[in-house]
Amino acid sequence: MLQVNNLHTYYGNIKALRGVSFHVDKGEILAFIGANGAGKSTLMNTLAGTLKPNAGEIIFEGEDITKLAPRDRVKKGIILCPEGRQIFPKFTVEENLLMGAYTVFDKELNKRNYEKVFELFPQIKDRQKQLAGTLSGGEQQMLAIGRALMSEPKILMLDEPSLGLSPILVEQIFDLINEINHQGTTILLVEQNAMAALEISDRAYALETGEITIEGTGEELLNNDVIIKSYLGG
Amino acid sequence: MLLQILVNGLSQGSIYALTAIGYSLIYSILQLINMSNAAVFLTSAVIFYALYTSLTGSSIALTFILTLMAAGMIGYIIEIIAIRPIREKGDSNTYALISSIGVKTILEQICQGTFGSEIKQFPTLLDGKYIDLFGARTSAIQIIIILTTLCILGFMSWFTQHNRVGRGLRALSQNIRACHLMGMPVNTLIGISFAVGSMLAAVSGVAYCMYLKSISISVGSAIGNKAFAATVLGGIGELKGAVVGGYILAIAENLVSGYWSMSASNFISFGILILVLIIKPTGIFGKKEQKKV
Repeated sequence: MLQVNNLHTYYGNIKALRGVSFHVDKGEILAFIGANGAGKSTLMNTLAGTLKPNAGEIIFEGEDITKLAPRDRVKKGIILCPEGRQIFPKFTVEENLLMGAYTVFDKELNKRNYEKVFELFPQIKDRQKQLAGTLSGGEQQMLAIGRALMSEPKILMLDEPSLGLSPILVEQIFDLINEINHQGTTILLVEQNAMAALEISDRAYALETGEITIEGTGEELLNNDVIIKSYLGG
Repeated sequence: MLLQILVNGLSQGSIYALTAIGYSLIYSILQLINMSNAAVFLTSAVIFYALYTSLTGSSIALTFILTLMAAGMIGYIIEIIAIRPIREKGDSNTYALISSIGVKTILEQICQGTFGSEIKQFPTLLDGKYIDLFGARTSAIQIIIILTTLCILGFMSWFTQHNRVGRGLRALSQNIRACHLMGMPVNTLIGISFAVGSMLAAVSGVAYCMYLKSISISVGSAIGNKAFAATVLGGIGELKGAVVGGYILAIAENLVSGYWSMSASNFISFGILILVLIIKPTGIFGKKEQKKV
């Protein structure tokens, strides 16, 4: 579904990605784990189109999208739910969701997706008219994911969805990610919380200083000695 | 006397408020003071005059609509030519500010070259008609300006709250990066914000010249500077601040010129501007800016 070949991206003066190649299969949950500064967010932003790669190509459903603007990628079905949620704090929950539907002009479809978001996240349904900036961290994360879902993505990219959340909420968010995946959305996940990410992912890559060092199924990585030592605190 | 001053203040404040919204709108999105706004005020009045005297002489309404369209296009083009390239390179806003001053100068020079430097008579509405408003002698055009402005403010409020594009502009002012990620047409929306600001400046410019019944090349900078002072007073980046600031400033000016002296009223705006900057730089409605990391 998504094929990434030999991606090199600078973040400022730092070469944050040094030839990253991987693929995402339709319907799977793919995770990237890695420490702070490994290049995870740079990778996400390069895929979303807010950072331009210096070399390499991104092929989505057989089409080269390396040079497309973020808006055109969203229209094709790739959207990034960014690190730190980046919701619109002065907008209500409802307005935030409407911004996620900026590429969808079909009113009926928007209505259906709007309802679907609240089926997934009943917690924020009662807060439709509340300002997003006043929501709790977990609710803001749900809103951020819901906003991204409003564009009807084929691939939902999630950058550190567990950041700053309590363990119970982390579990809840990952259950919901699983649920979104079951409903047919392919998930590309980037996490420092390796344990939580590997448990729900079909396949995973470990990213270290801009290069992929280990790959395998989620289970293989959970049992990999290097992974246990470096990421699972073993 | 007081009522008279109030009516004069409201009509003059309407003119400040409309131009001030343009400053505030663009600042709220780009943190840029768009100095070309005052020149668009002048250019629009000149376009109105030129159209009215040459082509559309019979219809003020038609002239007005054409002028608005022209102003919107000018605003959009200013953004594409003078601001967007700087923005996209990620250069500092200081460069964009200087670029907008460049645009201002160019527009003023074009106006001067084509229009000349003498004062000319400007078409107006209901000339010589006065309305007695509880003892205040009010010219009809003043009432028209106040009512038109109220309609425009109502429209702007609807536009930014309930319209897809208007909401998009508010989203931009909160988090441009998130707008990119959500697939919003960020460049187009920023262009539209310039077009909207320019159209409001155009209404303001035409209204002011109709009120004066004359036009000269210096109208833009005089009102532009005061509208900017009003923006700062209300809190730059807050649309309602621009409106409130505009009315407060105009009423203060009229109070001073009514009870004290005409020439002193000109010092009021800039005196207030400096005082605000010293005492509360964020203005009436402005909040302390949170630095985004």
